[in-house]
Amino acid sequence: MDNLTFVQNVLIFLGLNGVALLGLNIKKNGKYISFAATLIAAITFFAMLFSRDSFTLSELFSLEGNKILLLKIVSVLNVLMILINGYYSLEKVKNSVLMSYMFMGGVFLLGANDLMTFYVAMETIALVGYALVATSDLENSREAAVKYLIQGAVISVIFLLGVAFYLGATNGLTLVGATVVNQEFYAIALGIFILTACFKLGAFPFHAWIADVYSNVSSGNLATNFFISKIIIGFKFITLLQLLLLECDPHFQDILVMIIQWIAVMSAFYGNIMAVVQGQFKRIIAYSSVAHTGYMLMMICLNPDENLEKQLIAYLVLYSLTATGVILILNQFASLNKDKDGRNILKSGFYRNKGLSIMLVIFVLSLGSIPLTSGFSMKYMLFTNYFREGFTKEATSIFISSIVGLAYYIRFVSDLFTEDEVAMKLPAIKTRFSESLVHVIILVSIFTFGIAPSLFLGLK
Amino acid sequence: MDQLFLVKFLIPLLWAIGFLFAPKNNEKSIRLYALIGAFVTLAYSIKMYMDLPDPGVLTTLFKFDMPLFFNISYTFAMDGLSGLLLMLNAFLMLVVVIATWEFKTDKLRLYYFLIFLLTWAVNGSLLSTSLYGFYVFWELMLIPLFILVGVFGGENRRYASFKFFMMTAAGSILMLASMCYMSALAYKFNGSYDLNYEVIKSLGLRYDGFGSPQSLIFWSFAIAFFLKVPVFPFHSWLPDAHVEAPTAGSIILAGILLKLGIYGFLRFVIPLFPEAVSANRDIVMYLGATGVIYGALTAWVQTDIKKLVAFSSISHMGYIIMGVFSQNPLAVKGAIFQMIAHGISTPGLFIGVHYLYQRTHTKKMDMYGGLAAVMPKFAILFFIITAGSMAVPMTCGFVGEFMIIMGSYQVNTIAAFLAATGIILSPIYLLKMYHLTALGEMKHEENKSLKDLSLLEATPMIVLSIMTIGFGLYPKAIMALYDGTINFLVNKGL
Repeated sequence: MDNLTFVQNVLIFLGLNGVALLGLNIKKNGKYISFAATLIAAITFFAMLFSRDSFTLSELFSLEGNKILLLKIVSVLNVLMILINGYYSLEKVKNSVLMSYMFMGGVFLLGANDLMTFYVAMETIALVGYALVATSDLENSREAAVKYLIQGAVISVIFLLGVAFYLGATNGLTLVGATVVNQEFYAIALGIFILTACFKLGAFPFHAWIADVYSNVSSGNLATNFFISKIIIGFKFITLLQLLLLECDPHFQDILVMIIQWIAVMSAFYGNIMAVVQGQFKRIIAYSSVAHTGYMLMMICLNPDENLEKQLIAYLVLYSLTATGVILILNQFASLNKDKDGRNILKSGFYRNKGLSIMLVIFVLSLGSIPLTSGFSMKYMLFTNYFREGFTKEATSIFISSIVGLAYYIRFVSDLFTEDEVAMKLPAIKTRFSESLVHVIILVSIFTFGIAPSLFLGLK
Repeated sequence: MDQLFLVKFLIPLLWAIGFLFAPKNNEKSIRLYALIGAFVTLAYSIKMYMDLPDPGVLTTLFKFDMPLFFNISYTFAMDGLSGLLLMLNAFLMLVVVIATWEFKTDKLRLYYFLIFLLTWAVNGSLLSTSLYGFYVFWELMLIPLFILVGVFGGENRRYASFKFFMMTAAGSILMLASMCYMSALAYKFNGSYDLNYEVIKSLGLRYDGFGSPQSLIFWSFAIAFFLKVPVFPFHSWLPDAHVEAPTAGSIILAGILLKLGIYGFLRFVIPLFPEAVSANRDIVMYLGATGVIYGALTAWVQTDIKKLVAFSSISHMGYIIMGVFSQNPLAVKGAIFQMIAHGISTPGLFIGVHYLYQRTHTKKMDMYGGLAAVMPKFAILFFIITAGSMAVPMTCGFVGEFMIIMGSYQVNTIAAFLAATGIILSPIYLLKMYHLTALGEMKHEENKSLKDLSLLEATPMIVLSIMTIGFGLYPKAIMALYDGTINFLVNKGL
């Protein structure tokens, strides 16, 4: 009966979003219909998640434990983003509709217990992602979307090749309890899955799309990308690969772990160094996300554990929230500046809007892992895990790379306090209620997890 | 445990927050509020020291468990050493408030907010005996100083503040990496991430060469502290920061912040990693001695008076690091005394430079000359403080340097000999500075109309001059405050 509720809810969700899609084409009041439909769909689905601890549809799909927890968090963010999009401008309702489809793709990705469901869900997210980039209405949005689409298509083909190897190695596509009959094929399949994860999360050297996409996507759509795509894909890939690695032959396992560690370290260094030399803020955020992917990628090499999953969720959600906060504030500063994404938009920011500037300082200091912020406690937790597992050299290397990372975060702060004659003449920045609400939510999360991480993460 | 500790401890922070709500246009009341805050902070710092049952023993002032933050415990404790530095910190804040009373800015509230926040963060570092607490306040210190230099500094303030932040934060990250490593070990052994003295000692970090855990942890902490002190060759941020910083920043930086690097060695590194300290003793002593000579020679060739004082700091801090690492009780005692002496003389020099700059709008020494004729009060006070900095006998600068060289000589003759050359070099550059400033002929007509110090301006310099001579004649007044601590360090740590 409960499982039927889940199916019903998915159908209601899809149906309402179908109505929302149709509503976009109705000239009079269509946008109101779309907004209401997406909002009701998101709230209904969110409420449904509290009805049970697990949902099992078949061997192909099940949701339980931390997956439900993650879905609840993403659902809240989804509802929030729909509200903000609607409040900001009903013109943005189309983004909410797309976001809802991305969210549903995320639900199926999280629950996927076999590679076909996994593949379809992953592609759903990717397709909506292309649409979000392409409809951003920025100068090079379509070009970036095409680039993303082509590279994504190539990686999908490679992923399917991995699926084929997996089939050859386990005589099936199930991800749970598979028996490995051919270790060589299994290792190749895992290698390809790691490559796919690196592409989807934007790790070096599979990051080529990330800077173009980030710099050519509107801020709201970029936030969506962070909220849904990065959090869910990151969680699913990392926890899945942790499990799959356990079945691998120790010899191949060592090689794969070494590859992951190299990619993690290189991503951290490359992302941080490239971010320092960027002139556009969105590109700085893009490259910093490459570095952060490096920080968390090494989690694949840790043994699966429920607490570790919670820590991963916390890391992904808080990083995404904080980065989104930074993007939204940068957008507010950019709105009154001719140079929309250049380095100068923050100059004299502190004297134009103190509250917003202090928020931005706290957000970037959190990304730079200054104590008492979530960035610090998450990093401390993550790296303590790495040291505990004996990854001393790799963890130390990543730590050293984060020194470079501080350089671009502190540049934000420096710019805010720099008095610039031209910028001083610009009008004061006004903040909408919806924007303030988001900032406050992020601020509370940063300090709550910064001061009391153990409350949520099962740390003893 | 002191039940009122938290209230006392939070005073500078609460005062700092008060500035945010102060009336914007009432400068006088803001300054008065700052003055009262500085007095209150100094008063409770002295009271806290006086309440210590035994300055030789680390007395727990406040302890609380933080089950929600990695289940660690957080301890605030104080002994003679931290108490002495706590008082110096509060005293310097008062000096800053008085010396920069006439400081003109339209962001006065932000200015005082940052000074009080910085003072609070320094207090937090000095009183934290758990590594976490120390690290939290250590990092917190960077932000107000970064903004203070970046907003109120000179022409190249952005570059200087950025360089200062990056270099010191880089060291902190290395320290954090080591803390993560030790936390991981602690969790393995004890099932807890807590990192207090006992836990770290129980980890049994072995030392058998450079690559061993204790050695690597020692170096990561050492680099963080070297960067803060700063020890040659980790010093390049200091001259830039001093030159560009507003006077308040320079005073606090030279007077107390640099000492926190030394304090970190005394409080954590030496007691916790004794084998690594012994093994690397000579290397650090040579670095210290090199710093003494390098700082002095570089100061000699400066034409900018503030830069000269900045390089003199590198030279003086070289003595201190040498004394601390010599592991000789006499030298350690001298090093701590020198920390205080340097905390008196260098802020005094910066205040002198501030008054000169206020009047002449230049820091170039060739633009001064003969100022004693028009500014006699300034000339006398500046001379006394300069004498203290060049370690003239019967001034406080002499006592510390003499003890350090004496003590170090028993441990490493060559390093002590090299450092002793600083005694010859420091009079050369400091007398050159004084000569170019106050003595000789007045070459610039516009300097003839310069006004001498007002009573308000002279007050901090008079106090610092009295301390320079007073502690030089009667060093026991200071030494008695931390004597017991040395015994503790010698017996337990050294």
